[in-house]
Amino acid sequence: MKVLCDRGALLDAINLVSGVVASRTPRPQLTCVKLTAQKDGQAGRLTLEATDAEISMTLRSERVDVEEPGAALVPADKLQQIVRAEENEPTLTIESEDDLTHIRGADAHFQLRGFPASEFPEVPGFDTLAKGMSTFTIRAGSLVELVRRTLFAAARENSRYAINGVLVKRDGKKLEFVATDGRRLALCRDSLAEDGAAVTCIVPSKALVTLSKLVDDPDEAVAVGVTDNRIVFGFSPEDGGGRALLASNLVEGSFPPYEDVIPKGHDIKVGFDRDVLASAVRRAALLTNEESRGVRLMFSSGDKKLELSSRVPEMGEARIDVDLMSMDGGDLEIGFNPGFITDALRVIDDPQVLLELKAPNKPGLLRSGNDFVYVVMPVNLQ
Amino acid sequence: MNAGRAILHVDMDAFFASVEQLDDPELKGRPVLVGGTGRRGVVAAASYEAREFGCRSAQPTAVALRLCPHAVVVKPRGSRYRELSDRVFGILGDFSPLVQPISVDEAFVDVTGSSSLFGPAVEIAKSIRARIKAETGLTASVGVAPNKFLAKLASDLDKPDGLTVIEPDKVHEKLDPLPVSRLWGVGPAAEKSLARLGLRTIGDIRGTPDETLVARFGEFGRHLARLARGEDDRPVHTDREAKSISHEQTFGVDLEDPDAVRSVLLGQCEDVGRRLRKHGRLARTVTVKIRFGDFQTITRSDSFGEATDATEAIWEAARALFDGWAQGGSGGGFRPVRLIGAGVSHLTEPGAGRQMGLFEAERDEKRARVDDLTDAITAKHGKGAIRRAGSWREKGGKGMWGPGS
Repeated sequence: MKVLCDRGALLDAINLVSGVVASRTPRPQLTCVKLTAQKDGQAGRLTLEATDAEISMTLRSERVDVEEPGAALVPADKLQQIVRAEENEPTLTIESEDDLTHIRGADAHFQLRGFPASEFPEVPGFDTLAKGMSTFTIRAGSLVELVRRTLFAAARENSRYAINGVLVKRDGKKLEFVATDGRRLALCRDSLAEDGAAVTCIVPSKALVTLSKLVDDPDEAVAVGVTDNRIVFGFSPEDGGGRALLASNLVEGSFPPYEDVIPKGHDIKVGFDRDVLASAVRRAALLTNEESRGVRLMFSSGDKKLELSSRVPEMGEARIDVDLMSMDGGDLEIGFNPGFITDALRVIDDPQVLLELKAPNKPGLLRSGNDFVYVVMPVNLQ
Repeated sequence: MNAGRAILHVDMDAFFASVEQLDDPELKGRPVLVGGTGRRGVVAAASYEAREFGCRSAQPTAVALRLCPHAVVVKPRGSRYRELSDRVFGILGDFSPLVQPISVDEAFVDVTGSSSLFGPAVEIAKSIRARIKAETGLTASVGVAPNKFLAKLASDLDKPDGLTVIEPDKVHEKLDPLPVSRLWGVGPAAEKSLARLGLRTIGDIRGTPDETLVARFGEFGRHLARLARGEDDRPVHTDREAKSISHEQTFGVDLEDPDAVRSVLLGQCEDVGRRLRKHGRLARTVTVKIRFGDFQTITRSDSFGEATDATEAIWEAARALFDGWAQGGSGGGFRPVRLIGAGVSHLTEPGAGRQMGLFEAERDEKRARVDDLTDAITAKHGKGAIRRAGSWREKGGKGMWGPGS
């Protein structure tokens, strides 16, 4: 294999695939990136592949001149360091033979020992992966929005439920992403252009983080396919082979009965300016710590005011006063983990927020439009 | 008090109930029950006015209310109790660095080395009582004696608001007439066995040769003989900064049945959970320790998203760790076990604010009810009086004393 690469484009691609290279593995081949150079008439193409056995990624770069088609298996971290360090070079030449790869710049020649390319596991293309799958197509921009507005609420620790991922649920034209860590829950909806078979799966958080990084043009089409144990995302699937392909194993286990915990009907409805609330909560949070995590929110309906207060024994206390835009219902005093409120406000684009409450020991509900719902359990302030 | 140690046992009087009476003057002089109000609520503390009607802690609230229908039932306010408890412990710390908390309202203080600064132990006890009264408005009973056992016994002799001194030369005079149940570790069962031997007072035990007691009760008999003579050399441990709580047990013969090990582990989780709750702490990490016949030892840990003091949560985590090892996994596969232990670490105090769960609300409440109830029963009847089905322990008081029984 011999190929002349645009260094910037190559570095971007290597940075992306490096995210799924296995770090500790009994199979050293999985710490490598597989490079495949193909020639199609005049047009050359370099494909980069990596997998950590859970997630696999295939990226295609057209900004290359292929002199000699072929494949190479190169240690990912060294390849990344070299391509990054050759910062004065507009182009680099990569040439490989068996398990030895040469990387040449104007004044440099690196020889990297890897493995024969045939020792890398086969990463199938979208059509093979998606065969017999339930599939749908969505705009990349919509997909990344669904991820951004839910993933932050996913659990980081293990739980008896499968919640260290995001539930993806397609029903006809409706698409729903749901994430929870058992204390708060974020749900985001979108609608698809076409009808199709219902499918539900739980996608690992890491796959969705990687997916978001792959998004470049928000209007690019992404084909999504789901099998019993795998989800596949194909970027620009129409474009012969696709620009990028991400496949991930699914999280096994059951998602908690989230529909049951989304409260229906609240007694108290409070309207806020999003930024005013976010700022007030952030400031009240200054006087909280690991042991005293709650911020107390006292809503008075009479004068439409909210008083936030917090207190850490032996450190001090804080009080912030906020004017409400509107309030229906009686007075209420309730405690929340401030981070759980600011997390949600960060993904709400609407400058006006509606907070619905019932009682100090019942969940609060934040809504933005018809497509975003956030449920948060209070902190018991005693 | 001359040579030897000077130990104080400081015990707040009806602590939770007294705090409630302090904060709400309307409750003063009235029978107050602090505890759960629900159908299955349990009394956590009863004011002295309520005790006159037979109300006691660990009683179901419904029973207490039958005894004293005009009692006022108040929900416990943990953070307020902790705040006052911290103040009391601050006062104790002013008199000695050697303070051992037994619970939020009870502590041992070793003032042996404090007399040059603050005068004799009795004077220190008086100062402590005065400062607690002045700075918190609450009363404490204090026992002064040469060791922990006698100090605790002394504080109990004149409650509430009392100060009792057991001088080293008056130990027998004070102890002998008391019933055997006053001895640390003698519960209803041991009391009965002692009565069968005609031993009803502490003096009766002191008059019995050690060999007789040892022959009858083993190691526990030796312990009884020592206590009856007023001997107790346990030091005052300042485990205020306790970083972890754990229980472990070594088996005489390596256990070859995973289920048998599991049941011991469950019992240990119960003990760990109870001690956590008693100290008013929450734990973030659970560790299981396993040692084999060849003394190779492995530990496995897992952390909770939310710190907990629920026995069931600790047990679920410990069981998952044990099963993960026993069913293969990393370096795993069951083999006979010489020692098993369960522990918790990364302890925190519950501040103002326990995060509620979306999917666990009902389960958490149920867990808390079960824990409250078992704690209350254990406090009253001793360890082993109530356990989860599935935990296995030797019966009788002996288990508390024998080294690794």
